[in-house]
Amino acid sequence: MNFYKSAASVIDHLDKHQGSVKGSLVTAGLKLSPPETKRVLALVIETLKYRPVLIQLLDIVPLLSLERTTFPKKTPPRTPSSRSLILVLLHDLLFSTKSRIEASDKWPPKEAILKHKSRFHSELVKLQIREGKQRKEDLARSSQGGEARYVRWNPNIDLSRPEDWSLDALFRHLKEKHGFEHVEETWPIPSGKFFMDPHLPDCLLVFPPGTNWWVEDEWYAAGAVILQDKASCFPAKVLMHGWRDGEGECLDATAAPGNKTSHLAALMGNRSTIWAFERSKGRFITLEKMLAKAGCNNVKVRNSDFLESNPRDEQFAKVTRILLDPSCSGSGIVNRLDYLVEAEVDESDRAERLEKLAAFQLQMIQHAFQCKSSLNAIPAARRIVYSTCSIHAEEDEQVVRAALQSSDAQAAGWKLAPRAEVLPAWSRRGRAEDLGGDETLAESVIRCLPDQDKTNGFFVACFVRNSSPILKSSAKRSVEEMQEEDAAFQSDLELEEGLKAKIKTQAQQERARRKKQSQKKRRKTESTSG
Amino acid sequence: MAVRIQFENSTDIGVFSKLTNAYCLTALASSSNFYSAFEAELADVIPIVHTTIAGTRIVGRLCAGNRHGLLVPASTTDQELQHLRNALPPAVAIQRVEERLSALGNVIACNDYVALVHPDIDRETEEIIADVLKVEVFRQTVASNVLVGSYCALSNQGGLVHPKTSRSELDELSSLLQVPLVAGTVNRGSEVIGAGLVVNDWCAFAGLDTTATEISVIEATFQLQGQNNHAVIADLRDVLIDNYA
Repeated sequence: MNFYKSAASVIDHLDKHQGSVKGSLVTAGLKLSPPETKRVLALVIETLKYRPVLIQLLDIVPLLSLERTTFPKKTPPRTPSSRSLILVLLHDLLFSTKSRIEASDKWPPKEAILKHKSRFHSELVKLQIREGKQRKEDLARSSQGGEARYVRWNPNIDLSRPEDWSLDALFRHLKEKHGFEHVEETWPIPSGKFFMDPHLPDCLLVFPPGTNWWVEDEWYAAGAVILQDKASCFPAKVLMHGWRDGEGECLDATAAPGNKTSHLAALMGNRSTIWAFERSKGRFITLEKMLAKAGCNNVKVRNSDFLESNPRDEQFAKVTRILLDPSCSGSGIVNRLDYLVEAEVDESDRAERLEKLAAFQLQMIQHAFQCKSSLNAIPAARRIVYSTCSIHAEEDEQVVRAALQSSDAQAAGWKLAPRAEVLPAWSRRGRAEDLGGDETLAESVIRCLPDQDKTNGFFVACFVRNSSPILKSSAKRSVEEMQEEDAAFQSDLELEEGLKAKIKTQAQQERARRKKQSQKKRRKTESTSG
Repeated sequence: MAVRIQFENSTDIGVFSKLTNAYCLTALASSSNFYSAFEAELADVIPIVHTTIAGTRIVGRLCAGNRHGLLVPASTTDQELQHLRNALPPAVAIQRVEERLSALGNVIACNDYVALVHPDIDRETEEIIADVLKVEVFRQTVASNVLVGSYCALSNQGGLVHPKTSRSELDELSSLLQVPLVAGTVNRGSEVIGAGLVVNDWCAFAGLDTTATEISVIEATFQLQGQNNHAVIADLRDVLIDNYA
């Protein structure tokens, strides 16, 4: 019964606060063991799926007023609301596989609900008939999309282990153990078949939806296949366009959970070095675990904020390519279970949230723009890929536009890579109206829409700058550069002030303070080196 | 097979008897003609029990049951209850019900899987019906009549309901019951189906006034002759059209 109370508290929390279903489990302040967490999460998700039906039933059988003593209108603090408790209990009674409430018969809420059991059963049947559904399971809300399951083959395992973990071996394994046949691209995918994705033919396998052969499969356990959406394979692919050994190193600014990082490592042939940053401690642990599982030997992980790192630090002097995948609203992700929570988010709240996120994303890009070696005046970073799993232009095209117009970009010569370098075969490109009407700019970025491209919603932009070393006398150049940068800092500060005036959140001020500190530090190092 | 019988010059045989797949109850009568008619059909298959309920002979209207159980009103005496307990198979649960609407046969119509009940029946009674009879309980009306037990007769094969039941109501009821339903009459045009007809999965008894056409509708609806349902109903329709044309 504690378990039902926990699940009801999570639902309460979801109703009150914005946040993902999984996140609410943590933020609702429940201390649960991992198996319990799984169980509660399953119950919450299932209950939310059936919530409209359950609420209709409660309209017909007004349990809250019939059983007022057991389900009071106002519950004491730190206990779930009566309504949510009824929802989870009713779900287990009507829809769970065992069709019963897993609690003592003496528990008052169970007693109260069982009093009305047959009424609920019959009203459910009537509802089902009215809706014209054959099975009561069909009454559940379902997520749209999900036309394919993507699985990425991870070559790192093949490289680092003596056994044969090659793509051919995977094909053989799929055919022999699971009966999957390799075919040409066809939509919809027939069951028992799979094909190589036309945009990522070297590593991405496409399976019919509902496939789950990897459960308890040795390939999955070994990390030789990774479940990763097609769209989130794009950033690494775009970043590593034209990579050759010995070019330098890479940097992943927001690495957790590490799927993109391990894809990067695979594209680098598990050689050279990737610097992987992750700010949050919890996610950092996930990152380390995932990278170890994926057999990435060339990744150096840092549990720190990329924004606090010094882009001119000596150890990053060889970084030529940077992957930026900053936090975003996640509006493009289809399996985030958001469809379960009513989509009645206040429009102004949404705008404010997007504005904050966009400010942060822009800051990340500008920070990355400053990555260059200060010693020899050779711009090291040549390619920066910016990606989000959002479908809002505020976080996508508009951020890119602002970044291109910033003084950092203009000072260092950053511009968007042409379409030829950014998955030219992908047909859905950026929205020109959000890039100041510039069609060429729009052509240079990629966008995925969840309901049309059979992927998550996604956005990828690639910034490049001239990779040829600037042939100027180094002394003169560094003076010039310093002046330029001073100007840049000034404008940065102004930008920051403006932001603060607009949205005076603590997080924003904190970030501004950090930024100022890092600028001070940077100036100090520069003056010593200059 | 459908048989026409009467109870002491009354054709409302459903009032004086209760027929299920596991037992049959008949009222005590001055002669045993009524009892014998049931015996001729059902002897050696299911027990046929002579009984009164609350001292009355209207056993069919006072109790409700199926092969899982029997519900009797609170006014049933202890002796009657003991007699029933002794006579019925042990697998049949017997339960006395404290219900304001004490004519349980009028307010409950059921087969072995589903029960239609009066909309105002008590919540406790509803639970008892579900538990004892092992059925899904639906609060329903039949052609705007709340006495669902009086206006329909159900078996696991089919059901006959009040002749004025609308098409949409028929559809709703038959999707609840998961059996085909036909709107019809018994006893030469009587709409009180429950009073004129008792039925189980393999035989039916109708009041003596029931016409040949009504009998064939009954046999087709409850599939009592193993024929193809649709063919017979189609044939019947032709006959009826011929008759009324």
